[in-house]
Amino acid sequence: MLDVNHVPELLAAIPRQLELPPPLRDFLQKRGPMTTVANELRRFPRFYYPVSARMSSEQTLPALPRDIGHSVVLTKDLSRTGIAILHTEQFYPGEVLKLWLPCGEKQLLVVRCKQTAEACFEAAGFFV
Amino acid sequence: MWEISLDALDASKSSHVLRIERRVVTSAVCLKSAKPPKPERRYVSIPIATLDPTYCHELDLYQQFGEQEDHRLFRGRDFPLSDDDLEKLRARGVTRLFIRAGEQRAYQSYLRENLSNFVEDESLPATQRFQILNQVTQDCLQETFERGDVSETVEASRDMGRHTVNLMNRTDLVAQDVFSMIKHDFHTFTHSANVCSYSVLLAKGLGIVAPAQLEEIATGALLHDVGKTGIPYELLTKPGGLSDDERELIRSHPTVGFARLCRREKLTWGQLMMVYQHHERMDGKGYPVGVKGDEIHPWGQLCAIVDVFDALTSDRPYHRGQHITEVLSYLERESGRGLDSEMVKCWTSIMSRNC
Repeated sequence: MLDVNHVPELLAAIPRQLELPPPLRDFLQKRGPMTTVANELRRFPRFYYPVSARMSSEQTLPALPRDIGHSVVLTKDLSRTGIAILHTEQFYPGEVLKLWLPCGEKQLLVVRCKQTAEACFEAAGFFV
Repeated sequence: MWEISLDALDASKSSHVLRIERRVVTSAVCLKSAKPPKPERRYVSIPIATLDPTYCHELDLYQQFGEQEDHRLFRGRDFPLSDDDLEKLRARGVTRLFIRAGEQRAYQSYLRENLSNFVEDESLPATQRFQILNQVTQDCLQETFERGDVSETVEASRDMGRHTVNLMNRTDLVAQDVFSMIKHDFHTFTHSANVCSYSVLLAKGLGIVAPAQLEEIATGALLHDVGKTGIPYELLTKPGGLSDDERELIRSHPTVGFARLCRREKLTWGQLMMVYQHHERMDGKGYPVGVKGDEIHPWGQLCAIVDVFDALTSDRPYHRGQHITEVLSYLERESGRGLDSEMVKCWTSIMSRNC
């Protein structure tokens, strides 16, 4: 896991177009488990996980065949079953992405995506 | 007789007597429950315009007498309906017959198989054909939504979408006919059928004329709320305020619907965007993604307008349906903010011209 000293490197690795809104900039400094809520439905705790990772598209949708190619994403948080990432592109539920994380290669099935700034989408999903 | 009322027991009786009496009552209950259950006596009304003597011979048809629930067999499988019977019924001003509730599925499959005969029957007025189609669409959606079979829902929606466009292209149905004939209640499948008809009207108003494209829009509209099938009915019709979790669950329906349909080869991107983006708003304040402006597919924008229109004009458990002029004023206020101004202008012009 990267420590706080790596933040400048992280910022340098973020794609130039990716626009992080202020609340998301704070998470770059954070480490450890994320706070939970009383009626949390997630089975496993999530951890702050601000690292940059290489990404490619593994499986697109029949109605949207597109080539995303290789790019860099900023990961946000991680649990045993899934991960949240930040990227300039919008991803759609059902798409499968391949991520090269420091902990190894993972395939991510996108479950949801939200736009957090003009050029910043937060996508989250499960490892498959 | 065995029945003895416990209320009649004198409180001063000893507990011994009370025990005996209670046993007698229990026996009476047992005797009563030993009777065979009453057969299914519920009946569902069906318009006689949907009955074709050549094909509906598998149905037992009943007639209602008086105000009470007095149904008597009119024609059965062994003595099927004839053209002559239909003529006589029409001459007497009878417009509806009844079937047993248990036979509803057989009736629906009969309707689906013979729907094109009715939709293309030039001898029936366009409004009546629309009414039949609308009813069949709602029934079909209810059946397939409740069964939870996505493939069948998609197929049924494509069928119904094709028929809707076919009817609206062939006849002189105007917005007023459509508005006055649809139901204004809160069921998801009723709403979907309404949104389908409205979407075709708006698409035509915007200049889309190709039947294939209109059919795609109609099908997309029928499927736009498919993600709601996983949400408990009690929550969808909850009259009071919603908790954050409940609101979150309801707001997940575009994503859930999209995830269910996104691997279907037969659906186009525009149709999927009607499912995924019909709650997005031009100013970015919608959900699930929060995209704005041109990032919303035109069909998603179109679906958003008719979805809001039907939601506000229909009665829901949590609000009464508003008058059409109030709803059109609301849409105009939202024009250029949450909803596309050109499309709102087109929709208000279609509706105010005819309604």
